[in-house]
Amino acid sequence: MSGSVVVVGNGVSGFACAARLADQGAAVTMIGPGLPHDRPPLSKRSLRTGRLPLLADAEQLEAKGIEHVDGVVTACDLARRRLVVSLTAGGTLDVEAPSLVWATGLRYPRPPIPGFERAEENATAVGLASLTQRLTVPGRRVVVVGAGLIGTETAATLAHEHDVTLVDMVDRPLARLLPRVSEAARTTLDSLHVRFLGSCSIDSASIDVHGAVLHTSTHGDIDCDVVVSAAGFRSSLPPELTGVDPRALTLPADEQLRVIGQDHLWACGDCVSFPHPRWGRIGIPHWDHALWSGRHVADAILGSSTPYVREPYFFSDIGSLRVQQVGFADAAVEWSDEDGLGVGRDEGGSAACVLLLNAPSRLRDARALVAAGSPRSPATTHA
Amino acid sequence: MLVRLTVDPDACIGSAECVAVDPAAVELDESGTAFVLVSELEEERAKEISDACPIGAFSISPL
Ligand SMILES: Cc1cc2nc3c(=O)[nH]c(=O)nc-3n(C[C@H](O)[C@H](O)[C@H](O)COP(=O)(O)OP(=O)(O)OC[C@H]3O[C@@H](n4cnc5c(N)ncnc54)[C@H](O)[C@@H]3O)c2cc1C
Repeated sequence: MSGSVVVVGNGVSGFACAARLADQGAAVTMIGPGLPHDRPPLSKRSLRTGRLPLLADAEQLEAKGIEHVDGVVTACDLARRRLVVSLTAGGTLDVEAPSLVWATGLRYPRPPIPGFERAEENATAVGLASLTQRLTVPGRRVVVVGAGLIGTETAATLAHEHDVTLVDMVDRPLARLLPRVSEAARTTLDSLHVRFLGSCSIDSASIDVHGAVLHTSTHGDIDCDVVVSAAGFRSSLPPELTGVDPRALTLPADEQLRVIGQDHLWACGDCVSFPHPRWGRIGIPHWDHALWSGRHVADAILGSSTPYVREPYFFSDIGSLRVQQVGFADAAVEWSDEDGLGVGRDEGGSAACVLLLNAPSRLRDARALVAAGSPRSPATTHA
Repeated sequence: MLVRLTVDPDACIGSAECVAVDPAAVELDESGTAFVLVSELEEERAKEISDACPIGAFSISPL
């Protein structure tokens, strides 16, 4: 390897990659807006404390030997291995990238509802700062739009101090997860006095600093003080990388997380898909994979040929409800309770996915069950 | 040897790997942040918990 490795993205995965490279003595430049920070606390602890969960401050980056370019990549010429960065401080910078790591995660845009551009959000550092400023006085009437993991966590966290309504187009919170998770979340939200308005269709919104009205075709007008958008995610990938499918969420990579067809480009975190020995090509938009895939890319760049194999794992805290899931839920065709674990079995009867509700001490059991169900061990698959 | 185990709550992201190792010594609060339940514990046990944390949020100090 020669020259500096350039990591685009300063979130969980990009920082994990840059830190590992720097720890191994490689020259590394990390590009991203602001200081690197973590994400999961943004819908939990940080919402209450207002503190951004920094992964490193400027001094720590320097001490580690990570050069940080504060800005966003706006153009990328893969053939010439050059990037254009729009700097936060103004102006642009040309960066040479002999080895490049793409780690830009996902984007969390507001839904295209007229008037919704002014809704708050808490998936980004800027969003968190603005939202927590609006919520310094307790008892505000907050409407959270979107009852996926981020929205449901956000509603539960804010309910400790505010009067919260959670709204979604579908009829239950966490509708993409298993019904039992959805039911448990609903019970927890009820206990926190969060109103859930399901099957709600918002036509438009009138939002200013004094308050907001959501105009719905199903529930009339909803008055509140603050609207928080938590409705879905989009691709962060530029057209130069996605090619024919501009909506692609992930870059397809090989077992070392090198992007297919690009010998000097790797990807990690939310924006990569890789060939899992049991599940085929998958992307995993969760923290655990972001961390380990980031570290894996660093090792791969430094010469390791070990394939990347990691079971999907996510955790979520919805008030007092702790949800953890290991494995690949899509492969499970039958679910049952087995010794306190929710086990999803695949068509062959092997454990494909294990769900833990308020059982964090069982994580090892869950991992062991899914690993035992694996038809081929990683070592033999990639020998 | 008995030691003290502490966790940096600002660093913890709640992956719960520590609780999986030793639920009698660590727990998670409502925001998914780990806290230590015991004031002192065997060094080996503390090390096992600390090593399980993917981001090194624990510190071990002598009593
Ligand atoms: C609010 C919230 C709560 C979450 N909670 C949980 C949880 O409880 N459990 C769980 O398992 N997962 C959770 N997740 C998901 C988890 O945090 C992500 O899977 C993880 O952060 C992905 O890491 P990443 O590095 O790929 O992307 P990110 O952490 O999103 O980082 C991407 C970075 O790239 C930067 N970037 C984007 N475009 C450019 C560009 N063009 N140039 C330079 N930089 C760019 C962005 O600013 C960002 O900092 C949560 C996510 C959010 C948003």
